[in-house]
Amino acid sequence: MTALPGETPIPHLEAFDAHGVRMTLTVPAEPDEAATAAEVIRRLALETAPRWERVPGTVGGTELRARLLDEAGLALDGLGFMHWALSADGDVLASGSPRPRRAPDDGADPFFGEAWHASIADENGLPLADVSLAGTPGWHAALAVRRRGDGDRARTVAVLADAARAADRLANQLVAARPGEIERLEASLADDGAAALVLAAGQEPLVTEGWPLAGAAWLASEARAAH
Amino acid sequence: MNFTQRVLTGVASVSLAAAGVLGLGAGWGLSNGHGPQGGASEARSGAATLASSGLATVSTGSAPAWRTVSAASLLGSAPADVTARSHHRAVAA
Repeated sequence: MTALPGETPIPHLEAFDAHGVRMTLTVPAEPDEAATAAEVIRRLALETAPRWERVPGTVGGTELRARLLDEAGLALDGLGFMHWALSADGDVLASGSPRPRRAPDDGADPFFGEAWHASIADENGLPLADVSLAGTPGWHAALAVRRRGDGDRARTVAVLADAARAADRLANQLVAARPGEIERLEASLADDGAAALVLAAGQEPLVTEGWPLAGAAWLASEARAAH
Repeated sequence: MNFTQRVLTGVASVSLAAAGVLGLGAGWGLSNGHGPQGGASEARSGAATLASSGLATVSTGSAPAWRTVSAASLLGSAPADVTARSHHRAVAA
């Protein structure tokens, strides 16, 4: 649907509020297709959120947006969209490419393109880190950012995982962990095929081995295993 | 059936699925679905845990799991397609 024989549409952004969650959808498609996809996600969010809000711990927490992202991603996949980037209150889930390559004549891997470029910013919009996501359709890449504290006690964490709920869970653990516990959380990250970044005031950034530095792309764990 | 009609038919299917009519579970078949995380967004009360004792602990023996990097190495030059940020501060218990 989004790998066209001619020019690839410019990524089109749709933004909307769904049950108190600010969501955006960026998809390289014609404006009417993008609007239709956004309507699908908005309806899903409106119908799904009340059900999730009955789950203990979901109301007022980050798990709601993570669940919305994962379900919205599956819905887009099911409807044939292979290239898209969703955000829900700042968390991101992406698939495919914003600029998928045109289908080659030999039919080999027609949908691979450049990765989504995600910028991690602080509450003032100041860029903290850049990371490229996904690139292979069907493999979701999630990015969750959490922050706590102010001044010299401020800590920002970011987690890359292949599902929004995993990124949410791990990011919440990291941002709440005592300094001595962060090292032990590396095992949890590895078990989920996730990567993390920790930024603490006055200290050099910490990353796990899987975190992609500038110029590198992060692929979901199953995609990494297959390539 | 054109694209819009096909998608809106899909919307009806999604709505029915969300309502449980199609018998899909809450996890929608996610391979790494996790159960409800009670208080997943709760951070420990007080910022005392973030004292200046430092976070740069690295495992000895085997290859370090965590490593320090320069702030510059985190930033790229390509314009962002999507921005991730902490929308809400973690809520204390």
